[in-house]
Amino acid sequence: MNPPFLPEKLTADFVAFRRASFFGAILATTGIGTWLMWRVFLPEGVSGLEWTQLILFVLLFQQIATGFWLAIFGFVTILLGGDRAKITRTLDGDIAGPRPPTAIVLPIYNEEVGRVFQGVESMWRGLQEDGGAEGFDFFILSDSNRPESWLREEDAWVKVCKKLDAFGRIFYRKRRTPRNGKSGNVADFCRRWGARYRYMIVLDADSIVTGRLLKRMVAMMEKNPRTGLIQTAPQLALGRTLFRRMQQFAARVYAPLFAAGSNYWHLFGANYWGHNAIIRTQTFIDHCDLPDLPEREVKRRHILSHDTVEAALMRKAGYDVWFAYDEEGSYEEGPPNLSDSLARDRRWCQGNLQHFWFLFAPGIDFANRFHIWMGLMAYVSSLLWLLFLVVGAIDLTIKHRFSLLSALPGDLVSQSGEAVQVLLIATFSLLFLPKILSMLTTLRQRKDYGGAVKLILSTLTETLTWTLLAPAIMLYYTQFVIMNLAGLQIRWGGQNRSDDKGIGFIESFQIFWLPPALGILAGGALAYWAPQQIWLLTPILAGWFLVPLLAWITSQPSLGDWTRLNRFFFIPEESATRQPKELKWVEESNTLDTPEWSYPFAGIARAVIDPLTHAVHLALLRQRGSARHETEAYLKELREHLLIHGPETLQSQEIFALLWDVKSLRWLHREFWRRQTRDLHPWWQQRLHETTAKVGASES
Amino acid sequence: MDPVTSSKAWDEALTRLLAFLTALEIGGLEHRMEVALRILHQARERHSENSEPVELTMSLLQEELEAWFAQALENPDLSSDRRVALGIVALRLTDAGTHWPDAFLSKDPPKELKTALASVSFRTAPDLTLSSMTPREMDFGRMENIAQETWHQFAWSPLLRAALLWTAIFFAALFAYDHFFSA
Repeated sequence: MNPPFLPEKLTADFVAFRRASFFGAILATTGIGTWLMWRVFLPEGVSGLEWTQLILFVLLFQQIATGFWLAIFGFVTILLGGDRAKITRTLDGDIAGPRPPTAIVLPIYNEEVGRVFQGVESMWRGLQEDGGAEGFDFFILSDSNRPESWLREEDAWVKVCKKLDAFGRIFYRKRRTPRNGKSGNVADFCRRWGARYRYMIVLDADSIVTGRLLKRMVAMMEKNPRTGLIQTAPQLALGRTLFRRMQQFAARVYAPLFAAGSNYWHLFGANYWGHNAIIRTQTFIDHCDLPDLPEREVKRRHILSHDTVEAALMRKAGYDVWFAYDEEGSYEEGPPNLSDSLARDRRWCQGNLQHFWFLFAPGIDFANRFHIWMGLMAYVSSLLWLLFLVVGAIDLTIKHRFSLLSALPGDLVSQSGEAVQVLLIATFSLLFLPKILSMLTTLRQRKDYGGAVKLILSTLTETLTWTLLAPAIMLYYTQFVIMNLAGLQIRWGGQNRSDDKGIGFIESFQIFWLPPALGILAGGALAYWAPQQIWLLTPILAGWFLVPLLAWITSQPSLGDWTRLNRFFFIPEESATRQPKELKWVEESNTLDTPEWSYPFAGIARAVIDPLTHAVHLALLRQRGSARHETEAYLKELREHLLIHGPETLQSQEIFALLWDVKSLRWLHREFWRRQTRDLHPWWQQRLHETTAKVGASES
Repeated sequence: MDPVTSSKAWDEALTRLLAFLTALEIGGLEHRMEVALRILHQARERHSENSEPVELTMSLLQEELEAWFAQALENPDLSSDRRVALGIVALRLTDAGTHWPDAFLSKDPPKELKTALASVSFRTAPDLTLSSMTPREMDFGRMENIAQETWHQFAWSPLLRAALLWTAIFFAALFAYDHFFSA
């Protein structure tokens, strides 16, 4: 058996060799690609447009080369039996022993409440079944701004605590003034209770981490006092729509190579993804509160994507950040369809672009600068790609016209045909070889993926689908980048968080009208000015035209169900024998939609009418001193208005104001129950009718 | 109030009482009926020309709740409203309706029920242990200065609109040239 890995024994030479070999490979590949591109342009002399293309090419090609070498280094590492220098090897088997206080924090914001608490329940049960939950406390930190979400969260918290007998171990906190988003939410936790806990495990609302892994994360931190943060590799799971299933399949097959490759070069300089990670709390409190960005407008000063910056600050403070990439048991859910996926990307794009400020900030570790660079390029490359295509198309058109005017023989492109061919083959190899290697690696466990044939077919279908979707995604990313840089708000409609309902056919065309519209314009322009070049851009145009159809098809849960039944896009977490119990419990429980919460204004209705919801809410509200006279008059007017005119006539923040006020809620509760029916608004009369109807139902 | 109206009003009062007790989900139907009828009877005794049966009955129920929880949940530090709220939650958390089906709003709450209610821990969070976590100053280096001098001086929105306009003009001109002037 190998001796455990000791991070403090890593030598500077060892780290330098790994980084030199990785970045050397990227540089060499980019250099060769650039030289080939240069040769394509060389015969006729390099024009201004070609220089532009060349610069864009270098930026784009280095990104492809980075992805390629991540996969190659990962592949070789796995082939050689795994990396010696990884944080998971610091544990030598036994993780028993006294466990330090650890908070498991879940910042939530208008989430699917049932799913959040199913996750909490399953993780709690997982801990219990794997030797007990001592040392772990859960914190559900709510920033929800919808009355229904807030009231449902309270209700679910009480039910889960009662069911698990976990009062005093599972906590719930609602922030009165949500400030600075998720990072502000976690920072608020740190300020109030952080000092009580040596570690905090930060999760997302849809995260599931097995009890075994939670304990291993703590054990790894205990073993490595110089480590400030350990990020696990969350696998996508529990997908139902075809889109989600394809994504989770792709992540399961391709991610291990890239993850192993990442660890190869960054070692203790890993990134933080914002969730499914364990953090040394006091270190985080001391060093990781976020600075303001040097922006002109106040609202743009807050850092949206806090994780990458927090990892950089942790490293700046001298602590290690590791990536426990090969630990099983860390899960999250992906977006159910392309629309939701782009909505998420819109937010991420905004956050990643903000990281630009840290790219050249003094004191930031090299590894963190590279993470920031990759995060930026994830979105900026789309804009560069589009520019490259446009400049290339204009250049080719001009060349063609020139050749016609000067009556030069043949197509100019053919003169540098050999270089073009080599470059095309190289580019396709860099893009697709990692996928082939990933598939070959996965073939060893083909039984867990539905068998070899289905694994190969699934990989091919997934590759084809993403190849077709890529041009449209490029277009949207470009839009996000430009709008963000211009400081404009991007509206995004058609949100559908649920996995149970796909996007409608017409709805899909309403959401994704932009790519086909641009396809018509670009296709028309090409057909008119450069018909001979249209074949070059056919794959792009096809992607633009097909995106509404593909988005509609992939959003369908029925198709997802069919593929699961027939074991296409199958992952080990879907097989009865390999599925972790924590995921199984979540999948089996089906309490997401409860009718008592599913009508409009159910939150305020239940807080006023239902004695238990009312009591729980009052019990959780902090008693405040008497309000100012104006505030009191305002609230008095609001509560009277609510009963007489119904909730439709109030704004959400007005309902919120009532929900925060103990006096108003007591008054509403009493008045509702003792007023004559005729003195209530018809909406309240209807609620009263439903409530009294239950008397008959309970009697029968 | 004429006899018909009066009868309807008392029916509504009884229905409202039962609806509230049913919503509480504490105790069996027989017990709920018993409590409801008792309160209704008291309300009839107190009823005067100026009072509405529903209002009177539900106010009496509220008084009963406050009085009962003052006995069942002995905690002098709590206001009566808060005691009722915590008491209702505690009743549900201890499954009092199942274990003591006839105890709710009875004259003397059983000792075991009182002990069970007192043992309920209803904490949303542990005690505060405050830490200071303040946004730190950050030196963003030369980029910040460059940005302040250039990027932040730009009004990007009009620039974008102008770029779009000129692109459209360029293509329109190109189209016009090709269509009308080129040989």
